[in-house]
Amino acid sequence: MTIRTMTLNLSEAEMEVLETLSRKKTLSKTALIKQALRLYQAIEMRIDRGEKLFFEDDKKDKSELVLV
Amino acid sequence: MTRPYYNTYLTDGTTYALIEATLFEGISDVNLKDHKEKWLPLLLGARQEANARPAQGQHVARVEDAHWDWSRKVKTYRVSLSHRHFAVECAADTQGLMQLELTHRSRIDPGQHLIYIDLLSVAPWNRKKLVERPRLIGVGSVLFTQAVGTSLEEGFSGRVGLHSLPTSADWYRKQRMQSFGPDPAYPSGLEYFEMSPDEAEKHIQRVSE
Repeated sequence: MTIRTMTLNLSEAEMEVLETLSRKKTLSKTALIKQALRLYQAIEMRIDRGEKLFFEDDKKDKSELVLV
Repeated sequence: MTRPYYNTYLTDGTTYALIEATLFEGISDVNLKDHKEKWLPLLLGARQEANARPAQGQHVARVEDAHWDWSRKVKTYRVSLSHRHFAVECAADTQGLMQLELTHRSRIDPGQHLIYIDLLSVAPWNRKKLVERPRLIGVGSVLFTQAVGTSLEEGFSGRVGLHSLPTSADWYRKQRMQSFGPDPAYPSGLEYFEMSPDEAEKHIQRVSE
């Protein structure tokens, strides 16, 4: 597998979110961004197939996540 | 396209000698052809034989994966970043296939990610439950260890999870995976297993010795 390198410019707020999530998930920043990319692609693929994304709370109330 | 590969060893089921094998990342068209033309006739034959003799219905359980459509799965997820595929080749045949999912979460460590083994199949001639003397021993172990290695590589601390087919559950218990019992959320209520980071580390130590 060929590995390609890039520089990522983030705002302070974005970097703080990245660092917080990295700590929470015990992942490196690179691993976290790769994971985010996987999830984003997976959601896009399903939306493209005409599927919808829902969240469900403890009371089984569902809310659709509207993606723009 | 060139696939990344790793050299590994399997055990000859007759002589118990070590034989060189190759573990490839990615399932090629040749692997899929092997599955369709060499594996499937044996798997479906075994299932048909079992269905014809209900008294020996336990044989049906030994070919629980005969309906897995590897070709469709691989083609569907070839471009997906959430899936990784592996194939073991030896003696000019495909000996094992595996599909991993990378977006599942742990039950042992809630919120943390793990590698989920979605599909793992070994060629029918290597299955102790199907043939008297398997041609090669260790194909499943090579694939399972790769799943643990992938988990470490992705930063998931070796965590691995899976829903086991009934006949494979004991094998996963022997790998010291923790059972969460039958999963009511999963079709057929298959038993869910997970390997913790501690057990993953021990597993890698064991196979490295």
